[in-house]
Amino acid sequence: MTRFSLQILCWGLAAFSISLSAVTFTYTNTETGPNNIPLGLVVPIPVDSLTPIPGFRTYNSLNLRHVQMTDASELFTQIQIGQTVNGRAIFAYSIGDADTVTINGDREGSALINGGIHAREWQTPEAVTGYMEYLFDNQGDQHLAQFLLENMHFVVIPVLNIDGFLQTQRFPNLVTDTSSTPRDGRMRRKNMRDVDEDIDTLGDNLNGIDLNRNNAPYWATSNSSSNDVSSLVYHGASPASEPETQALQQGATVAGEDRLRFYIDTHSFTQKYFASYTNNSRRNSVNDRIALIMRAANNFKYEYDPTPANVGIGLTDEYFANTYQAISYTLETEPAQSNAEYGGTGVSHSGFVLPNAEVPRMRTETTNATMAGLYAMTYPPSLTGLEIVRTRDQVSVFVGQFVKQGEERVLNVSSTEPLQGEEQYQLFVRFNKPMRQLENGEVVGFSNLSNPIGISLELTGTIDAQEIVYDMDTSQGEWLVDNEFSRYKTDTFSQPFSLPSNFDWSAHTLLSLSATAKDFTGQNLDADTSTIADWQNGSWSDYEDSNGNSNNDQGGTNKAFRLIDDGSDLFAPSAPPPTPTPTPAPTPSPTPSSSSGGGALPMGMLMLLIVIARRRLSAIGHKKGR
Amino acid sequence: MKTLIYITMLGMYCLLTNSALSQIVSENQLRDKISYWNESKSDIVKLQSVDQIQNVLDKLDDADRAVLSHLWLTKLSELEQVNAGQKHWLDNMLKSDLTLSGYLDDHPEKLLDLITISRSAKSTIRLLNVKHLATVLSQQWQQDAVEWTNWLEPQTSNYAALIHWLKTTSPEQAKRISAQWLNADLLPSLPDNHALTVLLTKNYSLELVGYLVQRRADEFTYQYYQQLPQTSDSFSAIAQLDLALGNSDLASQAILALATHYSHELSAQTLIKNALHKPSTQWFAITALEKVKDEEFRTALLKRYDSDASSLAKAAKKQLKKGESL
Ligand SMILES: [Zn+2]
Repeated sequence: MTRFSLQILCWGLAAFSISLSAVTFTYTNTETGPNNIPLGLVVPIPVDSLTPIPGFRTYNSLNLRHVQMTDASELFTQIQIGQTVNGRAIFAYSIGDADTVTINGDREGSALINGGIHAREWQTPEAVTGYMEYLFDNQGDQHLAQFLLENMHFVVIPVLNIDGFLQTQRFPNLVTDTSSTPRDGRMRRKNMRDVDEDIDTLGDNLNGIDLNRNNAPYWATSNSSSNDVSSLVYHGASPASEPETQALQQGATVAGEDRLRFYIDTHSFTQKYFASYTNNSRRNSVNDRIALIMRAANNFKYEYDPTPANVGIGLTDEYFANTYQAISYTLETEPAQSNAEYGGTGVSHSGFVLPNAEVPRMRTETTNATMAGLYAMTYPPSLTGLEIVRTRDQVSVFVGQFVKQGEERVLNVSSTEPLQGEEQYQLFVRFNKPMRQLENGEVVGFSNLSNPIGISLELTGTIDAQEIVYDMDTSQGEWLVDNEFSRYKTDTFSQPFSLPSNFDWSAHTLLSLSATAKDFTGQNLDADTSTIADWQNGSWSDYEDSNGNSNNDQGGTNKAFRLIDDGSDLFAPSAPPPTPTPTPAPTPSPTPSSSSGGGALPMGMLMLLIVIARRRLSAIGHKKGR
Repeated sequence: MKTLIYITMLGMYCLLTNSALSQIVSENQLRDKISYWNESKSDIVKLQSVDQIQNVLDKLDDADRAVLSHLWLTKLSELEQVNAGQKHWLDNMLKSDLTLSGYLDDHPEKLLDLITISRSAKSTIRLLNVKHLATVLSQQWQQDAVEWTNWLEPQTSNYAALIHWLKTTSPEQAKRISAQWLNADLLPSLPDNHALTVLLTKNYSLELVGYLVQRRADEFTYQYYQQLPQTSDSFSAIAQLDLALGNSDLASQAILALATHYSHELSAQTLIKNALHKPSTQWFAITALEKVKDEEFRTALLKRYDSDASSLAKAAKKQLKKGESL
């Protein structure tokens, strides 16, 4: 018998011999006995480690890990946002670059991420610390993490209810009350108001305030919270009566109240995203969409359960949805029912005790989901630049870039040469964000929301007031991941194309690129690049659809790059389709032609040229980011 | 006519069994029921004759039947072995579709299974089986007749029984088992570090710890090292932590333990100073300096970093000064 289990035995004996002590129960693996609760799995003991482990870390070492990240990276800063009932400092971590603008010079949004509000939900400090470690470890990845750090401001509270969390870690295998409704010790949920740190003391084990029933605007308005101090869901004396709740609200101040657009509170278990609708239907729709994205990250194993507007039970997600019109969630991590899902006995409340071995996977899954949601909320995808390079001599025949002027973006064209029929070109379409997920450096799809290519491109023109379309076969193109992307891997799509032999540049009055693409979470392009999309009062402003509507958060096809500009309005009804004459027929490109002499190059030759082109481009450097 | 009555009865039976077997209760109702049976009716819960218990159960509504069945299954699981009647009753319970579900106060939107009798029966049978197998193993071992490889299949009752039994061994027995395993070159076949760390907790051997840290660190390795201050004296703890520093997955835990518990020991100080030099561990070591309680060591380190303006030194000084005020 280990000294540890001897100690527990002593506690058990002490509880037995002093008649005024609370009855305690001990979680065990397979050991049975009158006051044992066998879980059928190893009972986790918190571990002092700065690195993530298969298991749970102590509060002390989690805190040191957070400190280490702030010491080792300028992107991480520790801020005290309050203190607990017992006077412990509550920390938030401000994460991201120091400026308050995106790399494009636009207003940067912020996100508030909360963990450890309920003491026994040990998964949550691990999950939230996992987000921090992901951003820390990948800060220079030229992809998702760097994008998030440069274009979003994060305020992360790894453990809000520190007193309660420490109480559960003090007694990692002890509880009181009954074996089926365990309370205090490992199964404490509430904060530590009017509770001492002994589990044996009779009469105070059920005390404390449920911090997730302590919030405006629906404080004490339902029977899902209670006025009884001993209730598991005691809502406290008034809204935000608890210093921990006040600290969380202070988190919004640190995040910037006018910038706050995303809130997530982390809990366990039941494997669900909860959300609260408000009277803002556009916010609710975006809330639904971001939930879909986060669920897609784990193949929809999590459910989504939004509740109607104007009712609530005092949750923090209700507070942030209603106060800031922010996208707002309560994440309940796995399991769905109990530890039987991992081979345990499935005893009541065993869902709170995730087996050690499942912790790394849980951390990864929650990180992937939350990062995907944040990626979508950072800003919608938009075009930033277009370049057309003549393959044969590597001359850039068109270079256009959107640059910020005042409150809008204008197309700055630095060179134009007429395009020729049967000439091979390479098109580079540049975006404001990484557009695709990567796995081991390879471009991959994201669940059912995006596939590895997922972009269609065409040149659309007008000749004699009639519309003409030149298709491009984007399966021949690629998202760039090596060194020709602008700032982030996959923010540039490279596409080979050629035009039919009878193509006549001078006959066109209008020639523009029509791009239809979704970012990896399935969000459409901002159809009007000139007006700058922003999150305002719970919806996207200036995020236009294909018809120029900016009131539906949908986005659409972008036709903003004009090689030949007739000055017409971007969303003017397009010219009528061409009459069925053979001149000039749209041709898919590249066309490995066997007939027309001097026509399209054989495929192998074309590939070779692309390789050369790429080398040259990288040699002269096409980095455009800031 | 007779057939009609039969069919009606059959229909009613189906209706009853289908509609009544899943009961929904609140958390408070569940607590009250558990307390009622455990406190007011504890004599009934203690009953272990199948006939008696079945008699009581038959008179209860489904919710109470579920609670009492569950409590009785728990009681059965505490026995060393069950008799034929109990075994039969257990097997019947495996087929039961009696469940108790509830919307718990903390998850008001999700109907959770609180008690599922078939699952309670399954876990009772499993726990009894593990105990039984542990007894078998113990007897085999006493007769020197253990075929160890039979007990090392991961996620089996046999492996669970091996762990269960190892936890009950004396230090002397653990020492003999360790020697047998080393002789038989069994360590490479262990499915994880669970058995090894239980043995080590019983009987410390630096040789076995050497094996442990060479294996891939798993949850059991971390849990073992976490309990080191309670299970080992300073001298052997530092020796084991020294070994752990050689495993990159264990390094931060080892440094933190050295700083927190052993900073007054010269040998620990040397290890911490080495970790401060090594690029792969220096950030962990610097962060851990907050935990250094030894005044003299802290002062010496502060002095060393005094003239250093690097960000590492800055962080080190900050952490050392934080420790001062703790
Ligand atoms: Zn919770």
